[in-house]
Amino acid sequence: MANIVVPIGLWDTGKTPEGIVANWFYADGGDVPAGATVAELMVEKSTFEIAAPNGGRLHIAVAKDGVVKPGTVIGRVDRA
Amino acid sequence: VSIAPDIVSTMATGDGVTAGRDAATSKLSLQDFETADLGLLRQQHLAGEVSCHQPRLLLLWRAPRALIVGPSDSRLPDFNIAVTRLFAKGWPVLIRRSGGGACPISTGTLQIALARIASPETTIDAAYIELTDIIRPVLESYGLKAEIREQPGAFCPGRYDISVNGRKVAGLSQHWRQCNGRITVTTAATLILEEDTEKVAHVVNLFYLAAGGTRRCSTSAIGALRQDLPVDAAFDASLMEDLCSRIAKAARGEWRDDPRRISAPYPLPRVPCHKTIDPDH
Repeated sequence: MANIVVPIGLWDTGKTPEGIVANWFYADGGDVPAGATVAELMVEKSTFEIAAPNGGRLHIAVAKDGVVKPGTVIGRVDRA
Repeated sequence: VSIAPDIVSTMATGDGVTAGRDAATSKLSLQDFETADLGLLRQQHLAGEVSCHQPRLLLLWRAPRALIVGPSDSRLPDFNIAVTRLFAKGWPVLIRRSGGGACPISTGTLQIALARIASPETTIDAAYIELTDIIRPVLESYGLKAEIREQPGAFCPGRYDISVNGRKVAGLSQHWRQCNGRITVTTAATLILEEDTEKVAHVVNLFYLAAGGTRRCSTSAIGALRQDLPVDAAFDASLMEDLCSRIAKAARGEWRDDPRRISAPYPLPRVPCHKTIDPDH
């Protein structure tokens, strides 16, 4: 199992407190290949693509439009 | 898009980076596109060209009128109606990959894109500042005082708006993606040189009204560099060309010893190559 995490320090939370999960590109429970772009964040006019840390089954913890901060675990991938 | 070496509009930036195709000179040519979608496509491919040898690349381009919107605007309830309506008025609507709201472009605006490999220290804010630290000194070299802050009432407002005399003249947005096994970030700016600000506000408002969005744009919140420049400006005939030349110099840090304008350390440090994905581990 590997967590999908919003990178720590990605943005200055003193300036922009939160971002959102703008999109999931795979369905909850679906299989994802290692390195595939699984989600997209939106923060301060920035879009940030997040990759699957390994291949396996995707479990979404923060749904689309959910609020995130650096360090937030937005999902996990269980090895198949 | 096929780009001949003599008109290529990208260059490598930073300390001793000479692998860029224009690297021998500070000249950075402007690339004109027949349509905005071709320019946007070129910009989006820029991240795929950064490498250990060219960790940062700058692109300057220009295209006829279009309204470039962020992904969230494309999900507005009547987006398709807005696209049809604006196209009929000569404003094709394009969706970019970076965030933010609707941003009008035209041959009177300059598109600036800076792509780089993201190091572990690179943050969203740092990448924005990297580009504002190129644009701001250029504006100051014309005697203009540039402010970096959100300009309320302007199109596509954001924390890294660039304003002169209280009016937004440039907006920035950003896109992070995996590219060739690395994380890259492309920060893009639209700089208004000469454009009818009433038309700019009108087309943005027309889009949101037709699409069912709530954002609005005020003419008084938007500016254009031409109207802020001294009347006797010597570069009157070729402001765009002069601006591109100054941006190239600023990107290369050639003005670092010029006491008139330097406000940020140049050149920016060369970033280490940072592999973020290793399928063997």
